[in-house]
Amino acid sequence: MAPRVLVTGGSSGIGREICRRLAADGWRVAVAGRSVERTEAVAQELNGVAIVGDVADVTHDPVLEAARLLGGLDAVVLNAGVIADADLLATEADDWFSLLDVNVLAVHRHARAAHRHLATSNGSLLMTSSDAGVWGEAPIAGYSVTKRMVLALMRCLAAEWGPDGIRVNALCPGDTAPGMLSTTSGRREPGATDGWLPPPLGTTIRAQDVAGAAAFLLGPDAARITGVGLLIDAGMRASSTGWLVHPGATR
Amino acid sequence: MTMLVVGSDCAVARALCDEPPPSRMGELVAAIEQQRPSELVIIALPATEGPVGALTTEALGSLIGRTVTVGFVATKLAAQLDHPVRVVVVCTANGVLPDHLDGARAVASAGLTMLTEVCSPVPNLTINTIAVADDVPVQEVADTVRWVLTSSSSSLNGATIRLDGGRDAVLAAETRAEED
Repeated sequence: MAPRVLVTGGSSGIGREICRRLAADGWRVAVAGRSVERTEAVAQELNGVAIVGDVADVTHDPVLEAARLLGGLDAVVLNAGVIADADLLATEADDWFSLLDVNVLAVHRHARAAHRHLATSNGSLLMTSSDAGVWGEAPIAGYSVTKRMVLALMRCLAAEWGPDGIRVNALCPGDTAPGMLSTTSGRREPGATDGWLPPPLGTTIRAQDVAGAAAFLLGPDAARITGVGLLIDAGMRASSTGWLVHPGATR
Repeated sequence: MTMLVVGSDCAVARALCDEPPPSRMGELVAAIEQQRPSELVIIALPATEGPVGALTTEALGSLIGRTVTVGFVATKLAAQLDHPVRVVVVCTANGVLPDHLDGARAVASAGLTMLTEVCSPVPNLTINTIAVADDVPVQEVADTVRWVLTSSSSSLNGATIRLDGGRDAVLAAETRAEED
């Protein structure tokens, strides 16, 4: 039987590429997203199922819905997230609480909802954190705080649920296209990568690169890997001056 | 120099000030705006709520509100004052190396350590965190807070000092102690 996975934030950016990669690898995919049109389009493309709703809505339970539609779950990817382009002083209360609600509390709520399904299947939970959760970025202060909390949550759950046979890991992507930095409305045009600092490898990270890491962490080759936050940042966090490797780079 | 202590009412807070610290958001905002401190101590040492997977999301949200959101609001207000402010955050040591048996506080304290890091470039603000293990003597915590607030630590900014007697420095610390 094909393994079954739920991907939140699956209708665009990194989440959509994770859905595509897992479907190509033989998974049955439940695509969860806010936009009816985008979510159904991805689900249709992959012969999967669509679950539409806002992860911050406490009455919305994509895990329960996915388990019902797929007959259980072997993996859950908690990828939905929001960002605020703001340093400490510019972060308004509404943005702060939105960051906490979506990036931390919704992840906690859906992880707890997934526990019984994943314990049954010896499954795997994957969260999307960020390279900003490893080494923070002042211009996205609140976002960095919430992504550090996701990493702590991931590590605690890996230890807590290890005896239940559940693996828990996290992705820590750098600036990715298409990803949050290139698809969030009001930020940049989709796909635009101008102004990004070049990482040591000198290449823009593609959503497919992150999806490949997700496929690895959910797959059998990672059967003994849990409690890990995997950086997919082309080396940006390898050195405190990693962004200066390429001539002409300015902060 | 005016020092203001806000956040959790606990033994560490009482070692630093005589009055219970303002912990409710309205009281906290009023205290910072009225006292305009040059030294701000944010105490985030709530009682343990156990493993985070066993905790309801509502309870985790409440814990984050009493710790990380208090830290965010207090630090932002301090940064808006028209004079330099030294901020010290006091949280649990498992914000650095999580302890899943105390996972809820680990998540909150991890947020506070990152808050410290991303706020360190803010003009007029110097901010550091002291991450404290439960069994550290209260007076030692208070003394460390006072040291971090002095000019002797002027190069310390955006740092987290782990005050745990070396317990989490290496995996084998307890074994080594038994052998000694």
